[in-house]
Amino acid sequence: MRDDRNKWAASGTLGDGFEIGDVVVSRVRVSRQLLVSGPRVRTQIDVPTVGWPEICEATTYALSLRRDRVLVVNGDPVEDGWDDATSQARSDASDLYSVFDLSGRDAFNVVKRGTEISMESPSRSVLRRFFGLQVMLYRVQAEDRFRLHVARASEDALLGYLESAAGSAWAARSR
Amino acid sequence: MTSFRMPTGGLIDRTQPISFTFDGTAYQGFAGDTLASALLANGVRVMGRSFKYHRPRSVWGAWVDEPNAIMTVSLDGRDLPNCLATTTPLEDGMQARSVNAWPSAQFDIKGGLDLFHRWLAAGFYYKTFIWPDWHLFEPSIRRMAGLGAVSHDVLDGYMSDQIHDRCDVLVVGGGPAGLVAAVAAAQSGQQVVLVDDHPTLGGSGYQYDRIEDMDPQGWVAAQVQALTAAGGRLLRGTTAFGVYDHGLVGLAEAGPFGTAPRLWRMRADRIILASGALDRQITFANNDRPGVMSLFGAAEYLARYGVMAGRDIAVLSNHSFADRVTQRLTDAGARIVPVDPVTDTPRVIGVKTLKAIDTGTRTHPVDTVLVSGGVTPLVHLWRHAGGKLDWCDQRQAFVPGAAPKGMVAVGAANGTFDLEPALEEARGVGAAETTTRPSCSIKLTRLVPKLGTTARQWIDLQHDVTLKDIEMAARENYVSVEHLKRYTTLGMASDQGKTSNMAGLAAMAAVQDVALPEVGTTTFRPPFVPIPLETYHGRISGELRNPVKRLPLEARHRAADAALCEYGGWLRPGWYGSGDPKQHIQAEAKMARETAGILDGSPLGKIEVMGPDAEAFLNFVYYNTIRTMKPGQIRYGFMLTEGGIVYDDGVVSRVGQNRFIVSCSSSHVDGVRAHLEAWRQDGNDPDRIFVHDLTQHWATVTVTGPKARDLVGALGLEVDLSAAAFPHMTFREARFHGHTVRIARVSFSGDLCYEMSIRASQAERLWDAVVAAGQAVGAAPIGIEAMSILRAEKGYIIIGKDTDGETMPHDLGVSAPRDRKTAAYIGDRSLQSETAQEACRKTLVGLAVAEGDAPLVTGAHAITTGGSPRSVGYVTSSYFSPFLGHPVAMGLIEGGAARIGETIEVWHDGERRTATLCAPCFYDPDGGRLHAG
Repeated sequence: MRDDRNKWAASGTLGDGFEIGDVVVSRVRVSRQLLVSGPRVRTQIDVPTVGWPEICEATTYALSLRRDRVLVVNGDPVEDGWDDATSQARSDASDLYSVFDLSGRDAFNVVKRGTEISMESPSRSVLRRFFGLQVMLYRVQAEDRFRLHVARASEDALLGYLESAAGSAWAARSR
Repeated sequence: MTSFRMPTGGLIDRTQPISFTFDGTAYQGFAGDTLASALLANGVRVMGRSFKYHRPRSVWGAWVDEPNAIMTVSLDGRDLPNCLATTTPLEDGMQARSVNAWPSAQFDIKGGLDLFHRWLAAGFYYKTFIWPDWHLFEPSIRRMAGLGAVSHDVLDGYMSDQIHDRCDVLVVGGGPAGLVAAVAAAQSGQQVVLVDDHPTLGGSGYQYDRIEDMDPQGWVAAQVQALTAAGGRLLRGTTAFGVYDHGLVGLAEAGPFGTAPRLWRMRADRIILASGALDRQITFANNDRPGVMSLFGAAEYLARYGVMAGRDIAVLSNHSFADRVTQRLTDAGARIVPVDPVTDTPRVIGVKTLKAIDTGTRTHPVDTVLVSGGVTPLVHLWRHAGGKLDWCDQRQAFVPGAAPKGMVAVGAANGTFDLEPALEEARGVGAAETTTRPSCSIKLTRLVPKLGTTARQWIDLQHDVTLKDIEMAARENYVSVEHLKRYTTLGMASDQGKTSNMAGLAAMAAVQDVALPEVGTTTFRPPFVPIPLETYHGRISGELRNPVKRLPLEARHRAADAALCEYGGWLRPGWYGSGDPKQHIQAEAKMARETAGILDGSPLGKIEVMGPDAEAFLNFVYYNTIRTMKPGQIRYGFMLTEGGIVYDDGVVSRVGQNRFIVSCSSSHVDGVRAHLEAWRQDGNDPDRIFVHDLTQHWATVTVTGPKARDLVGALGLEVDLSAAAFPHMTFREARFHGHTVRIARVSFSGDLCYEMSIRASQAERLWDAVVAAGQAVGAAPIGIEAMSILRAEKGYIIIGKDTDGETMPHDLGVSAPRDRKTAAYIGDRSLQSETAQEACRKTLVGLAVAEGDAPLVTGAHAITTGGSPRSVGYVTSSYFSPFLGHPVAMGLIEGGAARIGETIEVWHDGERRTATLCAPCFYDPDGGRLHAG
């Protein structure tokens, strides 16, 4: 037992985002996140499914997480639990993940500081190990706009990593 | 001071003079110099002292193959230790100091150690400092050992940037072969990255008069232009320091002085190794004296920096390639004396200043001796990748053999030492054509070290290993090359044997009278050159080193003056209030027993298991029976490992026929999720069981204590909270401001308790309402420490604290499933083993102390009485209970459950006390308060 309240900066210090150099990080408010699992879930979902590196243009879409799991973003409300008709497990996960957009000229350079990734290596899944955190990473609306979903309790850590990496990317460009 | 700078030539900018100091003396160099080239140009010879004997040493090489010229360099208030003078670009105002020397390299007070060299041979300290105790001598020896000292000052902003990248082709080495390979690869449409550790590309190309009918500078510029035009990328000043699995190459990109290198984790489909080659050392008497240098190192000083290594130069070489360098030195004005290392027995004369070389038959007055015993391909990265080496008799060198997947060597790194064939080979490889190693024109006479001489012949200049050390190692049967290395420390220092390995192998071959390849090579491991540790962790430091998980209510806790502590990876309130923690904790625990305590239990696991087979699955995963649960019920249970060891405890709620919520311990959520996912796919149909970890979607506010019902009732949740309608170990759903609240009547305190979970975004609203309602009944927030006391009073365990890596459920008094559960479950078989049945197993008991005694110390050992006491268990939890007014403790004691009432001795830190074994439950043993009817 040790009082570490001053060792850790207060949660939320970076607020809803920041701008460093050519990178803008901003919180995204999505209306709903729904975790859906099922043996054929990827084909059963009637909204566009997003993988890497395609650019998501839709408002409502499903992030492909693994063979039998998606995260529906901005979808309609549905009842939580097991659905016999579709053999799907559904859980409201709206508060499970915090969502941030990362955009700007150096956005991809920031992404490359967090994970091994390339546009030439497609993936059905948007799940990534990013600065050691598990995130969902994909592109929305533009070539240089990346969206990240991270477990709520780790959003401070994610923002800290992004801030540090954005500083490095800016320093590299200025060098 | 004589200047060895040529009036013209080299890549330096003579219009930009640079001032610097070395060991306090001021010198001048030029932009484009290294520290070493500038010192050589100024006639400075002694640049360092050797590791053990403190012998004066000068530079051997011109780049990374430098064992001697190691310096602490300061610039603009930033000190960096162990900088290689040969690779440190000169900057205005630099202050360099030799390491391992005081007050200076020229006049080192420890230089006299060399007089005692007879007693300081390899491994001397293993043999000398045995009596009376090695540890008496160790501190002094350690103080004397080592090169350079780390400053106590932390360099501001010294953080390594780290970035991942990929390419089709990574070319390592920007010399002639690397350049043409990169150009060919880029022009064939591949994504190419070329890395070179020099700030200026070209490698050894500047040592040639012409390359493909162009002057070297023009030729290099043309290649760079062609490469960039074809889309290739260049990373100058970047060292490929290691090759790892699946084509991953570690690249360290140097920045301005005093900044940490940038780490590139480069994934390449194909790696073209064009790392060049080095001179092979020749062993002869006093071959470590200042002025004895690598022949190709001298050529590089002349070509890149316009510096002559000397004026009267003896050249010791056994091969034809030395002629080209000799000619260039002659053209530059040097007087050359050729010495044959095969037929002559050379000995250097001079200590700090080289005066002559004695060949055995004649003494030549010279100021410099240039040495080349052959050319050795730089194959470190090849070996990192798992490539094989073949011995080439003609070249007298190890050259790349069977290639590792995705790697190919070209140019001198491949043993292709002639320029034209090297360019042709590199072009073919760059364009992904199949090539074979071209023949080589080198004519070379085999060199064998001359054993048994009285004079010292140096093998490893950095670690002061001599030929005699090798001979002694062989006498003592350290003949395996790996044993030789460890016994003598040959090749173990920061230069990693770049100059000493081949000489060492040749010496051992001579001692054993076998061919050199029969001795074999040691293992090459990354990094190729020393890399600051900073490079490896980069931004993963400070708060980002292992970031804690944050509660949705953290702001509320901080506002309430909570002491935040790390519990199982979460930053949670340990107690509330500043000042003496003990007082706050005791007050919180007492309040919770008298009125109610409000705890943020958000990290508690909330893992949903759904699907038609969920019931059977959980019945298998849990030790306790799950399948008899009805919707709305909650059951406590253990998860076991296959070895029957208790892995987690928690409660399971049955929400519906096909839906359960696993509420595991807060610190085990990630592990339990992985445990469930693993077993779901093993022996089960994964299409009929799904696991959703929703822990962080829900925030949990726990209210515990006799007034809990009143407090929760004041929230207006419209739930009948009476014991009859809402009994212990059941749950209900309610609404709070339009949001679902899950209320579980479970208790970790032993009192009436409600755990209310709401979506995290609504946590503050619920918390505020609960705290406000608490004021009416005298309740307030409590931290984890108070909760720890409450649960210990009741005898409730914390896994990992009150259990260890051997604890089985029956050790905790829960044996019914082992005896009665018929369905299979994880750990079942292990619970039936002989070990599991032993009577002397450590079991959980309570430990009572005499009235007025202080609490036992957690971790104190229960011991046997008698002459030789032994530990028979230990105290796992111990507190003073403010409500009961006496200490409470639990422990794991051998055979404890069968010894209730027995008094045992407890030992801690030299103090013996007594305690009486009792049931672990000190509070409300009949459960009246828990059920709160």
